[in-house]
Amino acid sequence: MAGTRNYDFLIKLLLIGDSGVGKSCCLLRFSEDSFTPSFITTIGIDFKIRTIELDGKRVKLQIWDTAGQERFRTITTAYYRGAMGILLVYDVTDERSFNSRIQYPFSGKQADMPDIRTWFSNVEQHATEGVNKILIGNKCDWEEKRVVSVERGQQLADELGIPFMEVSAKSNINVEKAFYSLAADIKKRIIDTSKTEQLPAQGVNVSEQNNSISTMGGKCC
Amino acid sequence: MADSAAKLTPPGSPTASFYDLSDDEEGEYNTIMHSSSGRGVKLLFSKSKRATQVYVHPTSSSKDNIPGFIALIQQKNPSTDARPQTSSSTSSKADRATSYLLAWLPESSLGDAFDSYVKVELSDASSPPKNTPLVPQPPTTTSHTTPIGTYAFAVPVSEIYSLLIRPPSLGWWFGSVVINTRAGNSFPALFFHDNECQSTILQKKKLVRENFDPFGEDGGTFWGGDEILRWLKRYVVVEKSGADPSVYLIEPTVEDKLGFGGKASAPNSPKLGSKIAGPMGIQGPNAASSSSRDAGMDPVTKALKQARWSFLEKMSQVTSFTRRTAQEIVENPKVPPQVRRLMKNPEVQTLQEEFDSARVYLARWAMGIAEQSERERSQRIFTAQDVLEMEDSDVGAFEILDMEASNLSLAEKRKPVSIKEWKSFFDTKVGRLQVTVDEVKERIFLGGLNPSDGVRKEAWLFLLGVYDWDSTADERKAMMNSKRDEFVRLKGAWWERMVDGNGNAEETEWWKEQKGRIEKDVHRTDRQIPLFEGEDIPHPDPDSPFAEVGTNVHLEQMKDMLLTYNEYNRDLGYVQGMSDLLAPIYAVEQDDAVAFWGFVGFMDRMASLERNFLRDQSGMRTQLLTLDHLVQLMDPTLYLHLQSADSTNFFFFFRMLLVWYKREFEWVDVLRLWESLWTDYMSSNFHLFIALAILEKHRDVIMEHLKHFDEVLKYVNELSNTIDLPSTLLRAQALFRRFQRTVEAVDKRNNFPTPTVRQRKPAAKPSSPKPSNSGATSAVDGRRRPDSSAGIDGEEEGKGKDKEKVISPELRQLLSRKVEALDKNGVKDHGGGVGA
Repeated sequence: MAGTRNYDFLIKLLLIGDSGVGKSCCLLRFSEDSFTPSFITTIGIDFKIRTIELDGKRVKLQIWDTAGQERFRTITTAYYRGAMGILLVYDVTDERSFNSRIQYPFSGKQADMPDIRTWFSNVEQHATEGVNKILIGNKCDWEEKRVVSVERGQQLADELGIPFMEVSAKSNINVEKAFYSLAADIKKRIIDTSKTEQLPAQGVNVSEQNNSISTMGGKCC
Repeated sequence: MADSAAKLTPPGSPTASFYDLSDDEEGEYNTIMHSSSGRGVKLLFSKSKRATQVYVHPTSSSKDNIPGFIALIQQKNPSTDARPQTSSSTSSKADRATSYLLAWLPESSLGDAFDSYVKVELSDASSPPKNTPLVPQPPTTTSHTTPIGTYAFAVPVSEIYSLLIRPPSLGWWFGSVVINTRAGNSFPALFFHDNECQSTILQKKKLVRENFDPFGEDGGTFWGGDEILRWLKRYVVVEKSGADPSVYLIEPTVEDKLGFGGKASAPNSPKLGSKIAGPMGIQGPNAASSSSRDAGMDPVTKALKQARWSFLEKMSQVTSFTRRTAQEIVENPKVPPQVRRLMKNPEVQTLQEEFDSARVYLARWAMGIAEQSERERSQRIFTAQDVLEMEDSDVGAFEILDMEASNLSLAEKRKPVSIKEWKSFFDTKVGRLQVTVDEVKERIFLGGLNPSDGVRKEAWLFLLGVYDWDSTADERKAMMNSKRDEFVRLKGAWWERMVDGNGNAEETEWWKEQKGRIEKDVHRTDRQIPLFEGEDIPHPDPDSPFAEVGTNVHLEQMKDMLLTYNEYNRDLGYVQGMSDLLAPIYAVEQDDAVAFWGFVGFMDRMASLERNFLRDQSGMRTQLLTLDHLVQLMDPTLYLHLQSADSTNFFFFFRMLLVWYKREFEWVDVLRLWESLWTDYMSSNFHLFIALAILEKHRDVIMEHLKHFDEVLKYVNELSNTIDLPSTLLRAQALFRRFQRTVEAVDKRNNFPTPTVRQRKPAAKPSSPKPSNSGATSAVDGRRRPDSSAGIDGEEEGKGKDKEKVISPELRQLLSRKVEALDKNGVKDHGGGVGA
């Protein structure tokens, strides 16, 4: 692949959050600038690519989209490790996706309703240390159905110590901004602070996980 | 440049020649001025229906559609006005092409000429009218520059590089035509609203009347797009692209033919990620649907993606299928300057990236070429002869299936089972099966069931275990009655608990949560199927997030059935993917109680045998591991490549295995595939051989082009809806036979070992039918993955390279035709659905 890259950096991002919060829709909006209300459920894992420009550098974003249901966590957590940035997505019209007070009826355990805190602790557990995160409240255009206020979103983000943004994939509000801001944070963390020209060493340990991406780029030549 | 006689040379059809020459004899037609424009051109063909047939869809909203006419227009070539000649035989069609314009004109722009367009349209469409009307010359263009505007254009046929023609099909409401120019531009897609089109309706009727064949040249239903091709073929060379069956090349050069010629098809790739804006002409925020209910892309986006795809194909042609990179193309002096210029265009560069990597793209391209030869060989209809030929092909070692069970020939066996044949399997008195179950299963496995005569309704219930194969008609009737009662009881149980609040608050909350989850998924399952498409009744729950969009009775039934399944199998709970498995069964049975029990049967095997939905994902892991072993045994070279690409986790088959290729094949093919798989005729894990068949088909391309996990994953994910089912089934059968023989060979050798010093532990272990857990997890010695080698037979010898081949228990399991159910305790052991 040497010599064929037309980007300066490759950044790998991961979308997580409960099923139906609109992860795939956010990704579709960002990567293809389109929206479809009846998207199919995501099964397994896939990614999309978009190259953006940050401070005059061409940054290629490889954004991985996962199935939301807790049931598939054993599969999806395998992808946490290679991610340099993670978008934790909830649905402002769905309390459960944000904060599930519900306990499991028969065993008392939480099961298929992972809320943001659950996702966050999964990230802490499985992702690379220091990975950048952002909290995303989707469907903010749908005011009449809103159950999670901006304030509560912000409060949780503050508590977790991560940036926060409300977006709407449908109305194209803030989706670009969210991805750009996360990418900028990552660039700041990894690239700008890196004294050497070697980007990947800090970002992803390629050899460690057999599913991580060995095309992770260094500087373009 | 052509002279005027030359450009009127008939394209080979005597009738056409008559019309053209008669026009010529009439004299200088361009001296006859059109009343309003002062300059006329001949209108040869036009198409619309009044104002409704051919549309540009600038947005996805139908109210924005622009009606108009697509027309083939002949103009006098300006450079040859005063040179009447008679010799025409030496002129090429290409020369003539310059004098023809393919135009699209919004109805609103036609003015006085409107009547002429309608008249030409409704004349006998197989040849131009005798008295070709003159119409004002439309402005000629060779590129489409205004993103959204009036859209009128007239392209010289000589400037057209290719036409992207998409016939109407399920989920695509309208057929479409996109014109790609030689300069690399594309015009807006033209959509044929044929149901409103008078000339198409007439043409269809005529075809039926004359030939009893209402189908076009390609066997598809006749539609307006075919007609455009027919018009053009009268005047220029039109050749179907070998790489993409929907691309037609106009006056292709020798190089074009090398790159695109032939009759084969490439995997369509409408799903390749790409932005809508781009060099292809149409853009704007509205191009993507906000109102479309199509689960896939709206037609505009889809057509555009196709257009971009064919554009990239064009670029790839100059690379001669080598792995030359885009950079090399730019620097290659042999590449025409216009292509080089294009490659430097930032838009095009973005486009390239959208294909993720040139490698994935080139891989797809190469596959298209490979498919060409395969298709030509098999020609889609498989006869015994073809099967015999496959024996020599790369699949190799194809065995003629055992034909002694019946007198049917193999070709006969591969025909779908009709309702009549199905009924003949049962005796007429009590309705009990009078042939063996195996015979029935073999027929269904090989031929499938007739998709349209209703045989599935009954047969699926046998295949799904709802009906006992040994039952009489009366027993089945009684059984179904009691099953109906049970369904009502189960449905009532959750209903009471959830709606009436019987049960503790926590439990009620759990049911509500499950209901919300199910609802979200049902509203995004197979909505392109007419049955699930409508939103014609108000939502029963005004608080539902779907209250605004409405619902339909079938969606509501789907939700109830899935909740009822939750009641039936509380240990599992609702898991994403279940709605995908239920939809086809419901669509076939169209009765909620019957479909429910069919679904229960399906879930019994999916949750038990395959264990797809267990919390710990142990079933999925086992299947991926089995696939790993299978590839090691059957195609070690490919396996080593996948290993080098970090891809032996086989995660890219996760979706296929979880919902049995529901997302990979078209709806009709899914039904066909599932009924074959349900028979367990060859193996109860035949779906893994489907996976192997898909992988094998693409093996060369994968090995040649794909070096990393993300590339492999992207490539495999995007095979979705490009896979040909009949050939895949055949390949899977061949692979199974080969697998069977390989296992036999290994067993035989291990039972009768050659007396070598090295084999200190000859017989026994590998052939032992009940392998222990400490047994091999590796299919074949020496290619074992380092992390799975513990406890393999002969391991204690410590000399890895000389161990005998071992068939892993996972692989041996593939020879079984039995579906062994995991009982409910088993489900719980694996985490079930309730996090026990």
